[in-house]
Amino acid sequence: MITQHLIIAAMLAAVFSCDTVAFGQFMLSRPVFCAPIFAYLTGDIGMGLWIGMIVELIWINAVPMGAALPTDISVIAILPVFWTAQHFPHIREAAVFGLLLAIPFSYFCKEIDIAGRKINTKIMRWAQKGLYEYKESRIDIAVFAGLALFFFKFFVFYLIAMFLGGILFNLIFALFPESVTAGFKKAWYILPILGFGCAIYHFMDIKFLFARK
Amino acid sequence: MKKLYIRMFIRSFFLQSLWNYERMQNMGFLFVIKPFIDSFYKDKEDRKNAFLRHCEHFNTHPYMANIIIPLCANAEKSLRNGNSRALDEIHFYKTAMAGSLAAVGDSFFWGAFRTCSALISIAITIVAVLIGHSRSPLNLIIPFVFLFIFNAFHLPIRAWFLFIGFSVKETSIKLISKLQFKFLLRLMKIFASLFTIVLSAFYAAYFKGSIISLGSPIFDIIAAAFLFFAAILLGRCAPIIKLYGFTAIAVLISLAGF
Repeated sequence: MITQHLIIAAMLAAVFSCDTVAFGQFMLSRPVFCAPIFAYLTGDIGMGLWIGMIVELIWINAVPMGAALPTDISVIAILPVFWTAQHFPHIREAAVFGLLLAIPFSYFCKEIDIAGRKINTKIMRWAQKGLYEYKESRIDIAVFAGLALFFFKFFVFYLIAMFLGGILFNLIFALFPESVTAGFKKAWYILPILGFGCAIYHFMDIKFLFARK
Repeated sequence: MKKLYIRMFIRSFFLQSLWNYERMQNMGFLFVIKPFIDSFYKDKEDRKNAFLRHCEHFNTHPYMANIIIPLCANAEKSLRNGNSRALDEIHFYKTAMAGSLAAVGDSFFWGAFRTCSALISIAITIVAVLIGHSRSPLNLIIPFVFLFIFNAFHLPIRAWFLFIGFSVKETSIKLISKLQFKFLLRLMKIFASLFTIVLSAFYAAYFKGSIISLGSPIFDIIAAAFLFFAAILLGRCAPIIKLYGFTAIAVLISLAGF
């Protein structure tokens, strides 16, 4: 049953992550959408809305522009919601720790994404070679193969991150003394302020000494 | 013809499915324009040459690509009719124009419009938490509000870019420039800035005791304002450093008993 839940969750997360680049860009991958949806399915939508809000505000300008790949923020939004629902349901301080733990995973995801895009180059060359041989169908096959590869790499990543990350999350969080977890509880309310600051910095052309754009 | 345009519009969602470091969106572009090329090049050799022509490097904002695709398709048609300059036009659209349109798309759609839609959804979230309904299943509407606002605007615009390009050809650029993206961008940034300031003031006023507890509501609000300005001043820092830093501050505040 747990395995079944894990597979379904990883598949859904992979669908959301594919929206970032590979298909549509309907903004399904934005934290403000994917975190509450995940949280609703795992039973605590309030937590998802809050986590989504924090991540969205802090990474407000994180979008893939040109060849630049920003941190995968859907990973940072989805993983804490899933881990908390699995191991410490409804505990806000655990969700904050999940947020901190999800960041290294998002870097790992970025590396997997880069490797996948290198494979895309090989698929593209294969399709182009086919065009010289009048094999036009290779265009469609290559594009769908690219999409399938995007989905597959995210699916495998989420499967590993949700399972192994969950174990890590459970082990480490249990070790924290109460004074630290009380701090995480405070961070639950302080982090949105950081988010608002990040949003203001993004929108306004502020010329502060340390905040020059 | 309408069926063909709808097919191309649906295919435009796959523009970045085979994004690669060598030629970026080239195969996605070919995938979108393929039905158009198939429809008027009946000879196998002509089709092959047309496909190979579009294998070159291409990269722009995925929404703005719908402006370039019909222009290239029209140029492809005039190339078949013997206009040799059309080749240069295709190259111009896919290089010079792609870059400037990408800048407009990034700043307008992703930099301003998406963030404005998200802010509305965030405001509803804060209100839902304040009135004590954060765990209500009805809150499922909130993320869909964001999705609806964003897609109800961007999808028709994306479709319009494609259809206008086919119907009025090069004149479409003039029509699109009349949309005044720069003005709209400025307007949205002003709205978003004011909205964020109001939202953060509202947040600090209602959550002051949970953020920091100095014993007096005025001191609590001042402390929250201090954190807010610190976040702005740290604007250039990487988000990860800010997140870890602010969590560490929260732990220190808690350890200090505030």
